[in-house]
Amino acid sequence: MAGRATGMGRIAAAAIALAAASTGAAGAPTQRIVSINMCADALLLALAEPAQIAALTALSHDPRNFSRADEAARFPATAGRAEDVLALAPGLVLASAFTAPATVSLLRRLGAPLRQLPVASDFPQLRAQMRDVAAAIGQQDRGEAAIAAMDRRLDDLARDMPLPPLSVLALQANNIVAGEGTLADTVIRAAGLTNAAAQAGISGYGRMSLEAMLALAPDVLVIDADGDNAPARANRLLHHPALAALTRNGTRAVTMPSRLWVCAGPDLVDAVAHLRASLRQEGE
Amino acid sequence: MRIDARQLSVSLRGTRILDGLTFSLEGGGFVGLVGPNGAGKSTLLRTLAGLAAPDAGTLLIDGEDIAAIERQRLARAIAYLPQNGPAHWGLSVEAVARLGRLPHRGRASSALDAAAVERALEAAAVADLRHRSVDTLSGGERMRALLARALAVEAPVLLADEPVTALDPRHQLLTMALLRRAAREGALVVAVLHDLSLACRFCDRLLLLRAGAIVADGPCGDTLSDANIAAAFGVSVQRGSTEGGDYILPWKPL
Amino acid sequence: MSATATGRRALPFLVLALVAAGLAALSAAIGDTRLDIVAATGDVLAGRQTLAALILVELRLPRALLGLLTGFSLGLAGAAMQGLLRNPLAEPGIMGVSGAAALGAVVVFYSGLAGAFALALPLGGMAGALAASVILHALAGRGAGVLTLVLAGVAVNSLAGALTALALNLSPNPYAALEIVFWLMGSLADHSLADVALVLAPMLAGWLLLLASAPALDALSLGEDVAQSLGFDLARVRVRLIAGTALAVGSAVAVTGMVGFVGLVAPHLVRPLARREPGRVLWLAGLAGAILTLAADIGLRLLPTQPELNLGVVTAIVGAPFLLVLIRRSQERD
Repeated sequence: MAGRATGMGRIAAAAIALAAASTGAAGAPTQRIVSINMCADALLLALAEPAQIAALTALSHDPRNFSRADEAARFPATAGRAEDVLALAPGLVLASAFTAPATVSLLRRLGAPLRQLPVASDFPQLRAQMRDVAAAIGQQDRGEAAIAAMDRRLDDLARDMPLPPLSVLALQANNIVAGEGTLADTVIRAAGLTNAAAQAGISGYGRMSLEAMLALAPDVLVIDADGDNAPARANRLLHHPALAALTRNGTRAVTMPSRLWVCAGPDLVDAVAHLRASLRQEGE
Repeated sequence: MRIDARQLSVSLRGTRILDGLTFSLEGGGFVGLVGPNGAGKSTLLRTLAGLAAPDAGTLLIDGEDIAAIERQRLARAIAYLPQNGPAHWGLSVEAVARLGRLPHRGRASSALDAAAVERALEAAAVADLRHRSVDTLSGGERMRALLARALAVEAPVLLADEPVTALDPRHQLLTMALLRRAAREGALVVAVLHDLSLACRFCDRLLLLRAGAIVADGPCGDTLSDANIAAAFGVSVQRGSTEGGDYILPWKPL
Repeated sequence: MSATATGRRALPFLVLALVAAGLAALSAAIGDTRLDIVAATGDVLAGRQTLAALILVELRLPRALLGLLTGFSLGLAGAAMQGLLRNPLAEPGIMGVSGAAALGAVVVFYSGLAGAFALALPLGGMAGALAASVILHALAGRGAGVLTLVLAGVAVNSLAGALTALALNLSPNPYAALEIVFWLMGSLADHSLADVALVLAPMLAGWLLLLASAPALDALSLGEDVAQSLGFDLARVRVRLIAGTALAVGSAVAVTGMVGFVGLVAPHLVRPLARREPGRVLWLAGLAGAILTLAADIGLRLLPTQPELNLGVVTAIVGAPFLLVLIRRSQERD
C-alpha cells in the first residue's frame, strides 16, 4: 500500500472507476469486483463473468451457508475488512445495507468505489436489484437473461400440480416466526400457500410463544434450520415435544435449510421449489 | 462411669498443650479443674468430651478407647457445656433445652424427652423463662439456659467449662449446689472453675493444672496448699473457716 | 407429644403445601392462549388428543411442575445453607453456588455434550454447584466469618459469570451471545416434560440429603463443639449438605438458568412459623420457595411485557430490596 497514489490520486481513480461502472454499455464491464456481503456474492456469481470477480466473502465458501459454495470456492475470499478490500485495488465494492458502518465509511473515505445494496424482500424488488447490479457491473444482458430464467422457473412451478392454499408457519430458533414482508413470506406466497404468521398479524420477524404457535394450528410447519446444529438453546424449541405432537395431529413438518432463503437472489426460486417438493413428498 | 487417662498428650496447631497427663475419674464425684490461664484446662475438658484428639497416650471411657466409641453413644454418655457458647437463631429457652435430647433421638419416647427437659429447666432455675428467646436474656440467665441444655442430656458425665463465671453470687451458689447434687446422684461432674472458694466448698476433688501438667490431685486441703497456690497462680491467699466450710481469698500477687 | 400438639406442628406445613398446590394449578391455568382448563383436563383424562390437552400437558404442566420443583429446591437449599453457616444472609445465589452451576451447565451444553447424553446437562450443573460449595465450606471450616463468606461468594459469582460469558463467546453458535440472558436471568418458559424427568431424580436425592440434615442443623445452632458433643459427625454433615445442595441446585439451574433470591427470602418468611428452629425451617422453606417461584412466574405472565420477563428479573426485583432490609435489620440488632 505504501507505493499507492495519495488521497487525491485515489479519489481520481475512484471517480474514473465509478464512471466506467455506471456507463455500462458504453464502456467495458467493470473489473476487479470485490463483494463483502454473502448475498452480493450470489448476485455476482449469477450476473458477472468470472474474470470480473476479484474476491468474494469467506462465508460463501462454506457449503452450510451458501448454495453455490463450490462455485464460490474458485475465487479468493476476504474477511470483509477495509484493509483486505483495498489491497485488491477494487474496481467496485459491493456491500449491503447492513455491512458494518465502520467498514463502509472507512472504505468510502479511502476512495474505494463502494455500492451498498438495499435488502430486497420480494420478487419485484429482487428483479429491480438484479437489474441494478447488472448495470453496475456492465452486464445488462446477462441480467435480463437471469431474470427471465428465474421468472420462467417460477411460472413452471406454479403451473406444475397446484397446491391448495395451505397455511404455513415458518419457524426459526428463538421462537422467531416469519411474518409479512419477510423473504420467507415471499417464498411461501410464491409457492401458492398462505403465511399463518402474517395472518396472525405479525409483520417482519416476530416472536411467538410456543403456545400461540400451537393455537394457530398451521397446516404446515417450516423449520428454518442450519444444516449443522451447533448446540444452542435457541434450537431446543425445534425439538420440543409439543411441536412433535402437532405433527402427530396432522400438521406437516418440513425443513428448509436456511441457506436456501437467507439471501434474495436468483436462487431464491430454489427455496420455492424445495417447499413445494417437500409438501408433495409428504403425500397427498 | 469411669474415665482413665494414661500419659495423655494433646497438641493444638503444633503447640503441646497437655503433656503426659495420668489420672482417673469416677462417677458420683464433683471434680474441679483449677489452674492459671493457659494451663490447658479447657483443652483437657474438650479432650475428655471427645472434641480434641490426643496425639499420645490413652483415654478410656469405662475401659473403652474413646476414639472407638460410636459418636451418638458417646454423646449419650458425656454432656459438654463450653465456655461462652453461642446460641444462634434466638430460640426459646425450652427449645434450647430440648436440643439436649438429640443424642437420644430414635431411642427415647417423646414423653421421656419432655420429662427430662422439664427436670433440666427446673434444676437450672429457668423454667419460668421457658418461652423467652435466649437473645433477650441476661448473661447469667443465658448461661443457665445453656446449662439446662447440658442437664437435659441426662448423661452420666457432665463436663462444664466455667459454668458459674458469669453468674451473680446467688446463682453461682445455686448452680454449684446443683452440680454437686448431680454428682451425689451418681453423675461424674467435671467443671473448670476460677473461684477457689467455690471449688473448695463444693468439689470433692480438685485437679490443679499448670503448664499442661497436673501438679496436684486430691481434696481441696491438699491440692490448694499455700505452696501449690503460690507456684501455680503466683499469689498469696488469706484463709478462713465458717460453719459452711472453708474459704480461700487470693490476696496479694507474689 | 399429644395429638393436638402434633397437629399444630403440622399445620403450617399443610397450609403451605395447599398454597403451593393451588399456585401450581393457577400457573397451569395461565398462558398466552385462552385455555378452558377444566375442559382440557377432561380431555387429558379421557385420552382425547385435542389442542387444549396438548397445550396443557406439553406446555403448561411442565412449566408448573418446574416452578414447584425448582422453587422447592432453591428454598430448601437456602435454608440448609443458612442453617449450616448460622447466618440468615446465606443462599445459593449470593454464595456463588447458582452462578457456578450455570457455568457448569453452559460448558456442558455448548460443548455439545448435552446433545450426546441428556443427563450430562444436570450433571454439569451439579459439578459447578459442587465446586462452589466445596470452596465455600472449606472457607467456613477454617472459621471464616460471614463477611469473608459473602465476599468469597461475590468472587465466585464474578468468576463464574465471566467464564460463562467467555464460554458463550467461544461457542460456534451465533445465538450463543444472546443466550447468556437466559442463563443469568432464568426462565421457566417452553420447557418440556423431558426436562422435568431429567431433573426429578437428582432433585429428589438432593432433597433427601438436605432434609436428613435437620437434626444436625438444630444442634449446630449451639455451635460446632456442642453439635459434635451431641453426637453429630460434622464432616459427614458438611458432605451431606454439600452433596444435597449440589444435586438440588445444580440440576435446577441446569434446566431453568439462575433464579436468585428465592433461597434467601423463603427461609426468612417461614422462620417465625417454624419457631426459628433450623431443622423445621427446611421443609417449610422448600414449600415457601415453591410458592415464591410460582407466584413470580404467574406474575410475569400477567404483565403486559413483550416478550415476557425472565423469572430471575422478577425474583431479583423483589429479593434484592429484601436483602437490603435484612442487612439493615441485622445492623440495627448489632
